[in-house]
Amino acid sequence: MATEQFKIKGMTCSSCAMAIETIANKVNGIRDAQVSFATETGTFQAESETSVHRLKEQLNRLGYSLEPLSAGHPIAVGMPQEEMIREKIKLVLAATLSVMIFLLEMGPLMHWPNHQMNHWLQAALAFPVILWPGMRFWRGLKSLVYGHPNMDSLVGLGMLAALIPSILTLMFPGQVRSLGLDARVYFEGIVFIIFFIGIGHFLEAKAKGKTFSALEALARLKASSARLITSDGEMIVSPNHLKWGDRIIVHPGEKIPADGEIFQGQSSIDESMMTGEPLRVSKKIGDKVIAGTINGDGILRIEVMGVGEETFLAQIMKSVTLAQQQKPKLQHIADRVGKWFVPFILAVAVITFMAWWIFGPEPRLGLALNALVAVLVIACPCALGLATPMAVSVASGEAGRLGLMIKGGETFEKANDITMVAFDKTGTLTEGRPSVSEIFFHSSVDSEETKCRTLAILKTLASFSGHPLSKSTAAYLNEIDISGIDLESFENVPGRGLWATIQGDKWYLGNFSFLNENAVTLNDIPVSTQEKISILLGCASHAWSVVITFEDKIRPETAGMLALLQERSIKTLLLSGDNQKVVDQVTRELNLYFGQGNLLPNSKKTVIEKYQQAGERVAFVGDGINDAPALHQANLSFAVGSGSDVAHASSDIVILRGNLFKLVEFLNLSRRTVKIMKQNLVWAFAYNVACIPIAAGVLYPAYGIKLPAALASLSMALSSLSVVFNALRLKTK
Amino acid sequence: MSDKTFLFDVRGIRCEGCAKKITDALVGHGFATKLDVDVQSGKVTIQGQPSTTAMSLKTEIEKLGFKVSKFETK
Repeated sequence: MATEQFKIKGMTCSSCAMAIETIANKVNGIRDAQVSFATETGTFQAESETSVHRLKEQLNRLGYSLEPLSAGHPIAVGMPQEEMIREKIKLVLAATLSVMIFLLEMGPLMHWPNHQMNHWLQAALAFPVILWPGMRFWRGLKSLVYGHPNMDSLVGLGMLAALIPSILTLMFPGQVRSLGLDARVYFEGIVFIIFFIGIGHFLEAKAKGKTFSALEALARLKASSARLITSDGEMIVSPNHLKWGDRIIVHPGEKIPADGEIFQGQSSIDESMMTGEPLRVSKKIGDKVIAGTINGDGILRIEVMGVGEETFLAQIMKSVTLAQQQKPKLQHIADRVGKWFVPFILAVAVITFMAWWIFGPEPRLGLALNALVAVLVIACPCALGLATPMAVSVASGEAGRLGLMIKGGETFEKANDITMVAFDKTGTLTEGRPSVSEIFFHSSVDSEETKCRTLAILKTLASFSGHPLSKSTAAYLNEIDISGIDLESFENVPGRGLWATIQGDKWYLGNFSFLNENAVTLNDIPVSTQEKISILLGCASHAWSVVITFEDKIRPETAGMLALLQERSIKTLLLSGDNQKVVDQVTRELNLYFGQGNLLPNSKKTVIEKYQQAGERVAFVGDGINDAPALHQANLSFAVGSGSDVAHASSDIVILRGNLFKLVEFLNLSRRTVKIMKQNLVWAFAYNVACIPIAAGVLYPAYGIKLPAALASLSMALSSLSVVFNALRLKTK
Repeated sequence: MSDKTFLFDVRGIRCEGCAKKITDALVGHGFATKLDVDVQSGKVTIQGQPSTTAMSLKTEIEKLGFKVSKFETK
């Protein structure tokens, strides 16, 4: 099974999306169809190329076309330029001819030049509108014939119901009158419906285009060319042709075309579009860079470590696209209602027509037809279908703009009712870059000469490990000369430390238990070091030689972010693998609800489980790699990571390093999104519940109020537009 | 003085191409007189001049993008 994503053309309302899902799931070899009207895209699980081909054929028959979509490309929703012009011409045509028909039917030109000629003139003016701008509604009737009615089917039926008596009156006025029927034409109603619905769709398409501006902004970050270093010098290539391991050069002011690592040069890089961090970040050899960021004033030579869809930029765009496609839980209610809506309305329309025809006043047929058309036109489930997807689309775009990667539209609902946020410590609340704070020597290391040799050994061993504490130690001892140290053997023991032999002596560098297990004597260790993050160096069968303590600075924004959470009555927890004393100190310093140390990744999960059983809805914020079990257990999970490792994070939301405030911003965005989703749903339901009876004419017996079909089409268009514009309020600017 | 022999455990060797890359770099640049790579286990046996040090070999191997997890001098 492969996941296939397509842009779907030809959808006119959310019933189309539902119909496509139903059809697709019936196609042999296609499963789990998810179609979004808001993004005009669909995701399908396809067994083979043949099943995709079958799906395309089936949908083509109903007037929908599929075009492949990839993560690197933005979804261009809304209308392309030429289509926009075509739609405008259609609208102007419909508007002009509608006004002329109105003048002939009801205005000063009524009965001009004579009754019969007047009807023929109206027909001549109406048919261009019915056949061109009104063509979509005839396609709706085709879908009805195939058993997948949509909103256009309802309007199409309404138009047909008005058109048949009009044509009969036109062709055989005498016979119509002799049957005792009202010899009227309804062309003005038909053209006004086409015009009002047309203008509604036009404005809706324009507004939908706006919801994707965030995604387009991300797409614009992509570099258009790359300078590949070849044996013959520099060569300009498309970033799409870069491969893993290629070496590229980036000049000052140029965009970085791929994710990678600097192997030569240093510069400051503008990452503001990714991280929101306004200050340039300085980068040197060994640092990672992200595609789409802008090089400052240095020349960088970079080894490519991520191209095309692997890049962080592509991943974030993919996450926005997928989130926009996935339906929130609230939408499933709307979908269930929507499925039964069209058949239900058809039944209501028939009952309305019969009631007016049998019990209504004269002209019975005319009034019955008007009520039938009004019910069919006003009942469009469009607003219902757009209610939550529009909100999710705008919110996903906003999240993307904040530099957050989110998984699925449900994330907003999950984030809405969080009562507790648990944090990992290192790299989440702290910078994750431990710096050496103190160095203590054992009393046996007393002379300057032995101290120098011990530090040289320490630096050599530390520089052999990729662990952050080792790296920090090696960097701290930058000045120490290690030319006299030669390692005869060496081994890195992941998660514990490392050992090496120097002139026959076996040296260990690692934590307390690692040295203890390897027969290094651990007496007289300064008490203060036990409350801090520390590592030791020692020689087997001897006393330890040196202990190094580290300080991992709390991020500058941590305290402010925690205060904002506490203001919202969200409890804050600290779950860490560090020793309890270190955790207690941070808990006190940051005024947290509770802090627990000495936790292994699995025990963090247990703590979260315990709070969940007590009724809390817990979000967990971790570094995304080591904290997988806790991230998985939490009701909502945030990973704080750098561009290079976030792609693999097993969390709902990924926050770029150094931007914890985004967590609060996301919770705020989620609250507003869910509120707008609910408003939209309530509005859309209320609109249909209130308007259908009015269109059917329930107010007529008591108050004499009936709804003209043209007014029904106007109110339908306004209802759809109102949910779209309500959703657009989520945009911050 | 006779040649020194070093045993390295190297992570990231996936194919004969990787093996060739290491051989070319170390033998080609005079760091090793003889070199044998076991692609399956990632073990690299190197014979070098008496003056060759394990650390210089480690540095050269890691420059090529591989990771040395263990070495010993025979």
